[in-house]
Amino acid sequence: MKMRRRVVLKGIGGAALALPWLEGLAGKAAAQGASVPPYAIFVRQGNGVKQQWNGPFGLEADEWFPKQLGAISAASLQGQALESLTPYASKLLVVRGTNQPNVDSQVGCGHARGGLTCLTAQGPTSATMGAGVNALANGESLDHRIGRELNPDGRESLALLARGPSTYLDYVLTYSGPGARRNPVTNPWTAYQTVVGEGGNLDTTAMELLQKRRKSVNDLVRDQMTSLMSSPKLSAADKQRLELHFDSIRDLEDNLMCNLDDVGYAELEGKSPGYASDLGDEVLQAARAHMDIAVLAVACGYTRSAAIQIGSGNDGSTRYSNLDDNAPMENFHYLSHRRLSHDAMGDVIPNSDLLHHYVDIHFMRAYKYLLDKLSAVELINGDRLLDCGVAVFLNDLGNGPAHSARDVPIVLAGSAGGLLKQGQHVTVNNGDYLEGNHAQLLNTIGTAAGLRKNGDQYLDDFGDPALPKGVLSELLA
Amino acid sequence: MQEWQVNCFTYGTIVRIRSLPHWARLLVTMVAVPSVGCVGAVDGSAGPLGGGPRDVEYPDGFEAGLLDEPVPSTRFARLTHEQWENTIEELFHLDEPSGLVGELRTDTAGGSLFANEGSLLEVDAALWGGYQRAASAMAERLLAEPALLASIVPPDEGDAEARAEAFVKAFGMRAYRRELTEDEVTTHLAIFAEGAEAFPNADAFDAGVAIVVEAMLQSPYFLYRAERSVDVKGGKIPLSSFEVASRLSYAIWNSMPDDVLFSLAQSGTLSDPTTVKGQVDRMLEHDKARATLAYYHRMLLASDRLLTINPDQGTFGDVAGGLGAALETANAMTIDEIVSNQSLGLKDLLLQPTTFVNAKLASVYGLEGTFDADTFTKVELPPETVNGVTTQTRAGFVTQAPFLALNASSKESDPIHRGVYIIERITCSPTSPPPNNIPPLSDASGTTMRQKVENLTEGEGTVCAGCHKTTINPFGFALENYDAIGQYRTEDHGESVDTSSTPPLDGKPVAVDGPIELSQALAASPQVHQCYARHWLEYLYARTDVPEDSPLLERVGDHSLTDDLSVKELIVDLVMTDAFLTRSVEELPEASQ
Repeated sequence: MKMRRRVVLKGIGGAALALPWLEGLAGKAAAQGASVPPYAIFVRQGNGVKQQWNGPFGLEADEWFPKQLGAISAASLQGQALESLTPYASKLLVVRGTNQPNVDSQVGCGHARGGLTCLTAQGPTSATMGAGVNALANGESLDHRIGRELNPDGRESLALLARGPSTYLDYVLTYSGPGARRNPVTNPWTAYQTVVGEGGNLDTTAMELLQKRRKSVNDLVRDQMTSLMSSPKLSAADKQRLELHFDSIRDLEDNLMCNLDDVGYAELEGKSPGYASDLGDEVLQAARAHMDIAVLAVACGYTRSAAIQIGSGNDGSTRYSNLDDNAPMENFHYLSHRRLSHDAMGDVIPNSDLLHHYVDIHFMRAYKYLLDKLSAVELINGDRLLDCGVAVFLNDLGNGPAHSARDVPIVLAGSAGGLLKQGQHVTVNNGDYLEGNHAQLLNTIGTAAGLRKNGDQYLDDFGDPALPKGVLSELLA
Repeated sequence: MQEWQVNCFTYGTIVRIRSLPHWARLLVTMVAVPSVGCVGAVDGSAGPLGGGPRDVEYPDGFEAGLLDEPVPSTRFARLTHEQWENTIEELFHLDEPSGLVGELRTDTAGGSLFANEGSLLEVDAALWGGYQRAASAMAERLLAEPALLASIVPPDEGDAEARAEAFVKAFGMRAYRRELTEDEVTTHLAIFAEGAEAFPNADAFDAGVAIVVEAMLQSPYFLYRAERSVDVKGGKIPLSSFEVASRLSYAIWNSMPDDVLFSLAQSGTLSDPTTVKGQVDRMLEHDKARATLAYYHRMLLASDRLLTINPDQGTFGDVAGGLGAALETANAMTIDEIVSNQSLGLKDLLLQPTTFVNAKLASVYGLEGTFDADTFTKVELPPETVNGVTTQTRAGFVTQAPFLALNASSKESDPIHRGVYIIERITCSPTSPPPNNIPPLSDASGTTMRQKVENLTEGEGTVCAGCHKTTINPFGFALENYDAIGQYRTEDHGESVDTSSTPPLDGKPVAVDGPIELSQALAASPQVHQCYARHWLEYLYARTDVPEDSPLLERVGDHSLTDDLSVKELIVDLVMTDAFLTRSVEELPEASQ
């Protein structure tokens, strides 16, 4: 990673190091105004969680969801993977009973199905039916829809990825349209630069020089691209791609509010290198760096949505650490299968149900980090950033061994300005199975983030039109 | 009810409907829906994208290339990140890659086999920022390394303005891969003049060079292989000589044209087929082409995934540890030996028992002699004696350990996925995805793997039998002489293995008994040779194949089969065509709607 060491080093030391950099955002966010508009930040885990399932060890107990429906308390979280979220019990909305569309037979791989339906509520495109790992979703993902409709200038949402090496199924999460899977940013440093533009922490003179240089070059490039796009011989598809390119050209703004201070640079440098590691601790550190960037981007008005994928499609190489001895465990995909293989043939891994639970705990601790950062940003009216939007934790499978599309684990944190219920563990549809009501969940989250139909109605058209529509009233305050 | 996973293991042939004409979309949709499934491979009626042979009558006087029609394709294929880094290295005459590719957000989307499909590669905000930073870094590096800067500018003969103009023209031609117009020269000289202010601490001329470099590296003419020719000749749009140079260099070298190509482009002689042929031959003998040949086969065979296999230690003992890495090395060396060093072709890949082994792999193949743990030695795999019977047990790559271990579970052979691989990647036949709720094979009744697979998938009237019985399983069963790591065997769990089967090739069942006969059948199949050519077309043309490519693929495939084409000769066949060297007068479908 190429960090600007001269910038990082010059400010290290003294009192500045004593403060987590995001707390400094309090004043910055306040400068925006009295509030931050609703947003959604998505954090995705793969391979399902350890919930109730009948496997090689017999009936495995649910160790993920709160122990009871209803009010979430320290007692209901104790011993569960969500226990680390106890300080936020009153801000949580844990959802049971949402099911992805059952399109396994159209995809050919449970992981691929989970990945492509996760934020789209769509099956595969007709052109990629049966393509397994190469199947692509037949629609836009929710994060992108939020960005397209609500971001300044329709700016694309932030798509971020922290994962180890993958040769099977890599990025699965976000789409700009049918069959158009997006490219996520993997290096947190690149993510930061994307948000702030180059030039963070330059002195005034250097900044002015860089701005001028950038503008000269951008003007030249814009002229070239305008000329290219004006050609009548250009196909619609080429024109669309060039327009995306053209719209991505931004002049450098002296956006002090979005720039990290020196402490922030140092923190980012410390967390980023593991974004492509196969050690879980490093991957999760990089994921935390992505969370920092996502919070920064929301707080300073760059975007109203961000999606962070942790682990590759089936997280088949990441080795998270054992909570008993901190040693790396078998790769997560093996643990999720309970076997020493990517298939159903290898030997059963002793205690792999417990080890899967440990992985779940790791992910929840990382998610709590996001909540900590959102909560640390105080607005001028006294609100916390966490309350303005919704931080969504979701898995693209229900459980590991069965690759289930049912009862996909969902946590929502933050009320999105009072729209969402808080401090509750709820089940939807009275606990009855309803295929594809995951679409309703996404419509609800989209609504919480500020999307509306016909100006003032709750969102109800997101996802495959054949799936259940409307919002989940059980989630509304 | 207990749910079971859908087995996640497919090579998935991607068909992109949006790039096809309307009539073709309908046909593709018809073959893509699951209900049609395996029909194409069985009766040869797969439609325009299926692998079955078609009868094409060539008119009298047909010569290679004259009838190959270009199809609509993007005019702006963005450089892949590898192409970008290679181009930076050559543009600045660097001794090693710049490393600046690390500034670019990764390309992980798409789904095309070779990750170079031009119509899918976009520039979004994150990537644009990366291009900006990389361009700035390169400009700053030039100012910090005088020798590097000197290598891209004309000598100082006292006239700074003339020198600046000469630099803009010469470097601009190499960066944009074409000559600049007079207007462009003027525009870039204006940027040059801003250099002194932009880099106040640098020499004024050097600063001008730096800012022009920074600008050019962000230009769409650098970032895309822009093809702007529009003049129609004979119903097609001939590419300019510069455009031909770029097509050739990025297809064969994965990088920018060299000085020879630029010189020929400047003289306009790359419109001459004889000249182009001479350049293609020259380029294929360069080391940069060796890298391309290696990359193509690595992607086609999915051999990167060898690093993730995990043979069961309890079953295979010490040989299991590190086996994937050894197999990956051996596979790469074998491909390089056959395709590059020996300049051989598909038949040889399928039939030659050539491979490389270290001590671990020698053990897998049952070789006698002394082998080093770290050194790989070329061997011709000899006949093996098992249970007192000596027989030739190996042929080409589908009978060798890398392919076999890659397409296996941790403990057992996997005839289903070996079959699926051959069907999708070697015969180019579409298959349907498996249905829901499949129980694991380990739960199926039977002793041998074949018996288990038959019992699980070939039940009369079941949804599975439609694809498995006549299409998938016959390919895999013929390879049941090999266990999960590719060791030869005549028994499976104490019972004799049955390797007789009738896989579908060229629209009809072909009886084979065992892996050698299967390899021979594949090597003799027009469908297989056309499929191999089809993948090369996808790579060289940087696009998905379409129905209009069929006559070309049939001709090249037949040529490969009947004339024992080397892979290099097959590449020549594919690029010495109007399909490669011209553009279609028809724009992409969306534009005409």
